[in-house]
Amino acid sequence: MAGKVKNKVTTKAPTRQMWRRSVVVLVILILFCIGIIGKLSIIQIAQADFLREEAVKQQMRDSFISPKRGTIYDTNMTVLSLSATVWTVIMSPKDITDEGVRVKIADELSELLEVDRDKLYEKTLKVNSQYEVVKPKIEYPLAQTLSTWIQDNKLTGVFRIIEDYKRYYPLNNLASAVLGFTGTDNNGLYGLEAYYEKTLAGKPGRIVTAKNGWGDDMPNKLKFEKTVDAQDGNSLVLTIDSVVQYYAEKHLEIAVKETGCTNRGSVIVMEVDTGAIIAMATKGDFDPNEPMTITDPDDLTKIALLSGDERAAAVKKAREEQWVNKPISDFYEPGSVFKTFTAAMALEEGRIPDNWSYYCKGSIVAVPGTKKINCHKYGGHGSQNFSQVLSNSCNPAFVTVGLDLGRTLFYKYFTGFGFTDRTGIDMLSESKVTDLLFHDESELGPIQLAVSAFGQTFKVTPIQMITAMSAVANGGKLMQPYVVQQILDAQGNVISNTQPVVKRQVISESSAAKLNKMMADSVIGGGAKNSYIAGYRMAGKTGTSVKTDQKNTQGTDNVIASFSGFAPADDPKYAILVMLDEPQTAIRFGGTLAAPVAQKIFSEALPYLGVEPKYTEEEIAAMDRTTPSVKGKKVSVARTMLSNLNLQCHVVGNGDTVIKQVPDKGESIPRNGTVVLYTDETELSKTTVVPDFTGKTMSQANIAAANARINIQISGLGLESGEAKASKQSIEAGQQVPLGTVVKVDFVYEDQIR
Amino acid sequence: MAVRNTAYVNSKPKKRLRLFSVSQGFDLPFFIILMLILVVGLISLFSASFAYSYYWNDGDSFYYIKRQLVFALLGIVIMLIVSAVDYHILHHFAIPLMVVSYILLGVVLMMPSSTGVHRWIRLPGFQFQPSEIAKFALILLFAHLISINHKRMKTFTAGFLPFMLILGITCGLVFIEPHLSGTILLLCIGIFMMFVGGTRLGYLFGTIGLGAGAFFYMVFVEKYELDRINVWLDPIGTYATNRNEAWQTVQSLFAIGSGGLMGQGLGNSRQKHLFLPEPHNDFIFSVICEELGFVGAVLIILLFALLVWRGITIGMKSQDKFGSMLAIGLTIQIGLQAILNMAVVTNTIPNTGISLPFFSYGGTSLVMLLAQMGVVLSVSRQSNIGDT
Repeated sequence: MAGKVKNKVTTKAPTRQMWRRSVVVLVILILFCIGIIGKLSIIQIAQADFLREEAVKQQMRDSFISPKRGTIYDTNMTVLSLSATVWTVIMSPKDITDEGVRVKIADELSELLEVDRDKLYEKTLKVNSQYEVVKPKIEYPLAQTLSTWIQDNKLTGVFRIIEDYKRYYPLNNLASAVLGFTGTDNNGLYGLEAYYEKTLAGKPGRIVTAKNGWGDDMPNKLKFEKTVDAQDGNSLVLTIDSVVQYYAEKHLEIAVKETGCTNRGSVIVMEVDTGAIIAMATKGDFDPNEPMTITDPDDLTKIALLSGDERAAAVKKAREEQWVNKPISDFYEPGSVFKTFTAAMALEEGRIPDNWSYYCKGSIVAVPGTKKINCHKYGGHGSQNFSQVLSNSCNPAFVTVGLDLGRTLFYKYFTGFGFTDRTGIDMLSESKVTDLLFHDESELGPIQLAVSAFGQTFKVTPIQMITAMSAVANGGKLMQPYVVQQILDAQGNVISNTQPVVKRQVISESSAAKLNKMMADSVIGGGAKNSYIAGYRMAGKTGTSVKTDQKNTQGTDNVIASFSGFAPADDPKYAILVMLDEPQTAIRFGGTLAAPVAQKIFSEALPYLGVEPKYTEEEIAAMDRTTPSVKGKKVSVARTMLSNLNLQCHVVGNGDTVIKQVPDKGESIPRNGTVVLYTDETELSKTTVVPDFTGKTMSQANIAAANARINIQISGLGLESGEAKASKQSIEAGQQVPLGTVVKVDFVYEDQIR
Repeated sequence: MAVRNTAYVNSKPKKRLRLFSVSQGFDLPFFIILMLILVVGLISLFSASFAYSYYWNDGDSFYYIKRQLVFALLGIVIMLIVSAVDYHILHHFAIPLMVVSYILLGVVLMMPSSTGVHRWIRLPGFQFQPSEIAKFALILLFAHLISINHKRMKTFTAGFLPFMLILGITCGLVFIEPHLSGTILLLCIGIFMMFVGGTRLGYLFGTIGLGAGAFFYMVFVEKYELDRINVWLDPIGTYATNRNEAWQTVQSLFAIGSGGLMGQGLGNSRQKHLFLPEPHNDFIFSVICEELGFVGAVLIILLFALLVWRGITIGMKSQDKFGSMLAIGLTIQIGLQAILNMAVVTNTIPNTGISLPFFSYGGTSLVMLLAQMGVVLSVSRQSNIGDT
């Protein structure tokens, strides 16, 4: 190198040693650089994922977006349960600057939002918090007012109003036990809301917001936000028809009130071909909009007297009781209704030849040396064929039939009808069926068999009972009951559609058909006649079971009055079960209390459901007439017109032209009813007194009505019967009414058949 | 330390005191590399300071970059002027400047402290660190001494003792500010210059051995700055238990790691949003690593390596030992400071505050750095580098 610089001043130039050492320094520095690069490769390649993850954790704030919960519709797409947007008020006490503002917030906001002032003030003191819920789920108008208040007071940095959802049940109590309800965070807690939680809930979305090292959101121009939209929940379309549900609840509620049931009542209506639940009612119930509010007046009275822990426990118990979906959760002894199935077994096994008969002496000793079993009819039914045995609900006959079948067959069909297992309905808290509730084959000794044959010493759930009853109605096919017909996605597309599931053929179609006819006969003349509906041949069986394990306040045994049947008997479409738990009336038989409820529900529901009535000639003859217009006509013409319709007439006054008729045209009056024809102005004000019909038979009532010159319309039953007695009338006795007025009178049988 | 004026004034009669000689151009590669570093540095500063400036200057994201740009332009002008000046004139300033910097290092101890440290002298309009001046003064004085004493550099009395005394006093004054990173940097520059200048290796290794011994004694026996050492050895673990202590290091690692191979893209650092302390200053390299990734970081390291290589080449090709030592000393200063900064932010060495030359924010510092590069350019004018 020195040689190259010979023209320059070489003596002062760097020496070779300096040159060498400079290279060493350069190498050292380069090595340092390589070291740094090495370290960088560890951090940025080997550990990159871990470090990035850790970094993201501190850089991002994850907040969730509530998905909109799916809607629950009835079978006609009537909304039963839906989620609507509400707003939750969040306060950041950290951003409150001084005491004056705190006091102002506490004073004004507590009033505006109706929250406790002192609690709110305490929240404002949490100066380290940025998230205090002031009030959850307020509705739009209040949110608007609040928003204005916040802006007026320049507190936009302190308050946030965030969107949330609230569950509404527009039909209030309707089907409440079926629907259940949701909690404050929109999760299903009871009923279908809980059972279909995953379907309804949807998936929450996320907002990932970048935050800075101070934990604040990024300023506007540096904002970073990534939103993963919430996936709204799917909707349910139920098999339940809210109209039928309404009929069921209406009549059940009246019955529960009138009979003073102390343990509520249930109704189930099922489509027999499919197992679809058309209605499932429980009364008393609750309003799922306010599930915590206790509805039972007796419970409220009791709770009012308590305090402290006892009160809290009582409140909890009362709430849990009112939420129970009785038709699937409660067990009861079916009593005589079960005779249907004992009959089915006997028919299926060919134990009932055409000439079969049984002589009932009023009691039977099932097993020599044991206590005799009484029939409910003192003195016995005498000689009966099988249809009569069922119609009379004769206990000794069924004991005999049961013992004849033997334990193996009895248990086979008992299992076959589904009494030893859950039905598998898609609902929460269907009670687990354990063998503690019934005698399994090995425990089914002669006494147990004899008593089981007429429906005692074991328990079933209402849903098991109606499912089995539907099998009888459905040609012996046992269906799996279900309540959700379709699942829709958030856009309304059908995701799944429930197909009926046949579990098994329990009895043959012919046996089922025979049994149907017998049960229909029972409705016409037998123990279930209070369920008769003109035009619809109903088949059914009543039952009254004594709760031997409980006494009521009067010291007598509590009972369960029930009825289960189906219609039309010749081509069954719908099955019904009515169960009244612990009625407190003097007469408490299933036939007296439960069958009329079924009759009333079906007489409204069947025409609504499009089941065509088929009237017998007798029924047509007995059917109500619609009054023609005879006003302005000559009396003789009017007389002929009315008599052609099998109507009587009563002429008031001496004119020859009809100037007024009562009932007016188009009204419904029974055959042989009387139309009053006024021919004279002076007679128009003539009135009559409504007689007291209660306790009268139909013929007695008709005579009384004729004497008073009023018409009666028979309600409850369509056919004239000597045994039914009037129980209620639409216009009170003693009222002054115009001649010819129509009074509706309810008739009911008071037979003591269990 | 007798200064024989004639010896160096007469050494280059032809070019004596020719202030603005452009007869021979400066080294273009060095200039280009330097300008590249400066431009990349300014872009990096803009990105790194953007968010920080927003939060601390009432939403003005451009506060730092605007000021830095002004100083960069001023610095370039000064650099060009300095490059035109014959560097031999600096012989005259070697001792006075050292004296001035000692005075300033004394003055700064009396300045009001910020959180217990006395590093800045604040004057109306600008502020500076006397340790920055001391660095230049040290390089200048060492270059001066080596060039006039180079024949006796092997001796203890001329080639070791005076250097160690000067170094000891300078480092001592800086150390008590306290300014650990400045002290280390001064020490390294001094040792490297002595090494190149010809001091016996024995003395040097002895010194390094003593220094290392003292270091380990301080750390492991006296437990000096033990927390810092613990963070260095296990940053993530310490972060879990002692968040504040490990905050800087861990946030830097988060930033660098987040960058991965290719980076998040220029301007997309999230760690600069108040997670990294001083993202525009000591931790600017972390932001670069996050935004430009491993690839970008290596390219920047490469730029510095090139600058160091070219600077040392200028020194080696210098026509005299003074120019040679000046160029090498100044270049080592840049290289070492960059390496130390990168070593700190990557947790290769324990955390100590040190800025990245030409990248970190600081107007006075930038102007001083560029002026010093002007000296290197001035040396290059009279070097034989064009011949190679």
